[in-house]
Amino acid sequence: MKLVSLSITNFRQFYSEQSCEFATGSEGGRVVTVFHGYNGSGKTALLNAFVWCLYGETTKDLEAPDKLENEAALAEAPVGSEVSVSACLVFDRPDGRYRIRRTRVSVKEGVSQIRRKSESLDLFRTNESGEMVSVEDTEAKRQKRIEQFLPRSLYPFFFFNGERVERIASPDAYDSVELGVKTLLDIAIYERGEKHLRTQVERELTASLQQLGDVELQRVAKELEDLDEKKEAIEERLANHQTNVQELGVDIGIIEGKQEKIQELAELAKERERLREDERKLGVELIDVQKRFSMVLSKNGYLAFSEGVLSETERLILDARRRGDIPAKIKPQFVNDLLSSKICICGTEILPGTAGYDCLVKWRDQTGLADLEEQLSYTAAAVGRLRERRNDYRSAVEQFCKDIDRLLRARQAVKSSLAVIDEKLGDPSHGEDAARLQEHLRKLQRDREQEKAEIIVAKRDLDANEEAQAAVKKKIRTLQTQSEKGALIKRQLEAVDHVADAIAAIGKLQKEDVRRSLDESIRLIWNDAAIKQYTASVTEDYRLLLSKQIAGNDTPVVGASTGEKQVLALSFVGSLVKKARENFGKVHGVQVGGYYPLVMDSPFGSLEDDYRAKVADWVPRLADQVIVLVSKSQWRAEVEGAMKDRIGKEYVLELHTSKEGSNRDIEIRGVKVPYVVSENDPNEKTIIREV
Amino acid sequence: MDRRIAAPSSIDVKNALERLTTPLESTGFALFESKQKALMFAASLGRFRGSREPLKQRDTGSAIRFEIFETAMDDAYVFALAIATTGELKVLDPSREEEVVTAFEEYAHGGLIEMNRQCFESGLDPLDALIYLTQEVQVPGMESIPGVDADVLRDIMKG
Repeated sequence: MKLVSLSITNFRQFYSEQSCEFATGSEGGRVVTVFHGYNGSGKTALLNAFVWCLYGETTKDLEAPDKLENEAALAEAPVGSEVSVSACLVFDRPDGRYRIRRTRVSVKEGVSQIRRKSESLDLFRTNESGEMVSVEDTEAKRQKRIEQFLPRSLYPFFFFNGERVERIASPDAYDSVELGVKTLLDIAIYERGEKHLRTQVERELTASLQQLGDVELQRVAKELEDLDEKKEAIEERLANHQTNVQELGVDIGIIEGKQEKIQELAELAKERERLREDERKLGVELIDVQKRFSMVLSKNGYLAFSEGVLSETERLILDARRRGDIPAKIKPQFVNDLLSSKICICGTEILPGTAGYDCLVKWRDQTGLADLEEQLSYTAAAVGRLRERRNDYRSAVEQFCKDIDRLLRARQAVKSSLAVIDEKLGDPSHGEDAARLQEHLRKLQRDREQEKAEIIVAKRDLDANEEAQAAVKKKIRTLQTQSEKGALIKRQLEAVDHVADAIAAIGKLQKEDVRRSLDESIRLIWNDAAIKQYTASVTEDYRLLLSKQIAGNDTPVVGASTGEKQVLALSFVGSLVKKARENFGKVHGVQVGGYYPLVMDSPFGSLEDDYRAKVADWVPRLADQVIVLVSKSQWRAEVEGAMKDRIGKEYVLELHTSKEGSNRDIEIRGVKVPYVVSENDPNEKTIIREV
Repeated sequence: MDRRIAAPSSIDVKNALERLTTPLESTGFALFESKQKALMFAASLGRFRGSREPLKQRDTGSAIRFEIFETAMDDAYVFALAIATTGELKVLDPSREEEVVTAFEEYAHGGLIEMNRQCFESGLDPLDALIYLTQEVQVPGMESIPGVDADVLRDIMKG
């Protein structure tokens, strides 16, 4: 998907119709479009225009998301008349040019009162002969089609606020990272295939089995059908709870952001962050202590039970020594050699049947433990070493208990301090707003805990269901059937199961392959950008991880800064779009991979100069199209320097304000252009001007 | 020794062995580095508890070569276990290899059943559960303190 143009009418700060076109890279690889905007000029609104046009919703950080109508347009409209807001996005795909238009019409019922009347969605495609045709006959189908181009759950990867992009690297986002990888890199197709076989196909076969005469077979087939239905319900439940956890995480972030902005609470919020960091560090240390101990337990733990065995062995060996069984006075090999050479050491001949020969044979049979002597002395010597290892284990347990006790106490202390801070944050002396925010935050946190618990329950139910299904399938295989048809269905069921297993196995390999390739790419990008000796990786469970070497071991970095997490998240998004582009093409007639744009609001917000320059340098190299929304303070020399050769289009979001003396200019490529304009109009508005 | 050492193939025990050697979701690391290590713990625990369970079927597919026990320097304990179990040093004779392996495998089976119960069915944290098991041994004469219920004492020690 390559974005061509956007037109918005009366959308938030943008009065009347405003249009812009985007750089597509057709002119010498210029893929970057920059929008410069003063604070409040509508950078976040513009980002939301894309999201609203595509999905009919807005991002969580847009304030008052219900009020999309431009204030000036609303003020001008007479009471009783209609006010409409619309966004029209044009983009190219391999099968043609698409145009999406979403329009919301409201009726002005009072000076500042509106009632939403309707919302419509149009989707057109220009075909090869240049003719524009409407796509799909209902809005629901059009929406579905749009989400096939770019799934709703994935837009946070492509349309994002750079100051919050580190969320992608947060624990709540692992599932969306995995989903993003699977969807964009075409792994989901295997999962869909497996699911189709395991549900629809199996269900049909099971239903046919139930039609047959075998009573027991009918009963078991029904059991399988019921389990399958239950599985679907559990999966849906699980997906809902996972989405809820993610959304609650975003909501919590927004509330905490608001607390940070209230002057009286800022210090407390900082202290809360510091304590949380301490809590995280203690958590990591706790796991580290457990890990180190478990290695000792794994190696030597069994010796805790060993004393009985060791002392009994020692006693038996000692007894044998006392009896003189070991060391043997004469080695069986020596006697064997004499018998085979038939000559004694004194030179006497020893022939079979003679008294001398029989005497030697008797000696040989009495050598007893001599054969085992080496092994017994090895075992006896090992007893001492094993006891030493057991003592090492005991010391390790003692140390482990001390360490754990210390860490748990420290963590408890941090938790208590956090509870005090939470109390203070909600103290009514900071004002009603503060108290309300904290109350809201507590509720969200409680809800999130509840949702996390539900996830654990759902996963457990899913495991139990899987086990039960396996048992029922096994039963079906063993049940005898009278009819030929029944036997055939049973074989088909078995075959479907094998194919589903094979598809799942291929999908797993493919997923691992993609993960490895992303891991490699993110590592390279990070190495280039980062100044610290950290390593970035995508772990096997799709966590974005920063680690460092401590005593030769890879250890997760504790307390990475927001900026570092943002660079990590950006490296990941960059790797993802790069990989999707590399995959682009048709495999067995199915379109895979593709081109994806990145629309970034304030991507350089919290980054240090070094990082800014690097991000500005590699983002346009990885992505096929980049749209950047920046303020003057974010558009520094190092960013402009890194991007200038790749900029194809540049705009200013010219903010018109009623406040006198607010005129400001911005210098772009050596030319001064209006940035903020004072004028005698009570309604603020923004005009998009190409530079 | 030529014989390989195997775990039981019954589903519950096999699953338990798998879980003991797979990274836990909560911590990201496995309780035992390898199946050989988990079997050592199991056999030693089984012997200590006197819980020897014959194997209906051996999981020969994933049986472990004896060199792995040698490299880990755990081979002497396998020998000692056989000696202590039979009360005979001659059990180490190559002709009685089967007896050495069977004793180890059957105690490991008994131990694995207990480890499964403690680690995955008791509601305890699995690492804690293993530590409690090893701590039981460290209280000499625990069962024989007059007037004290051994179970209560064990609970106190664990707490």
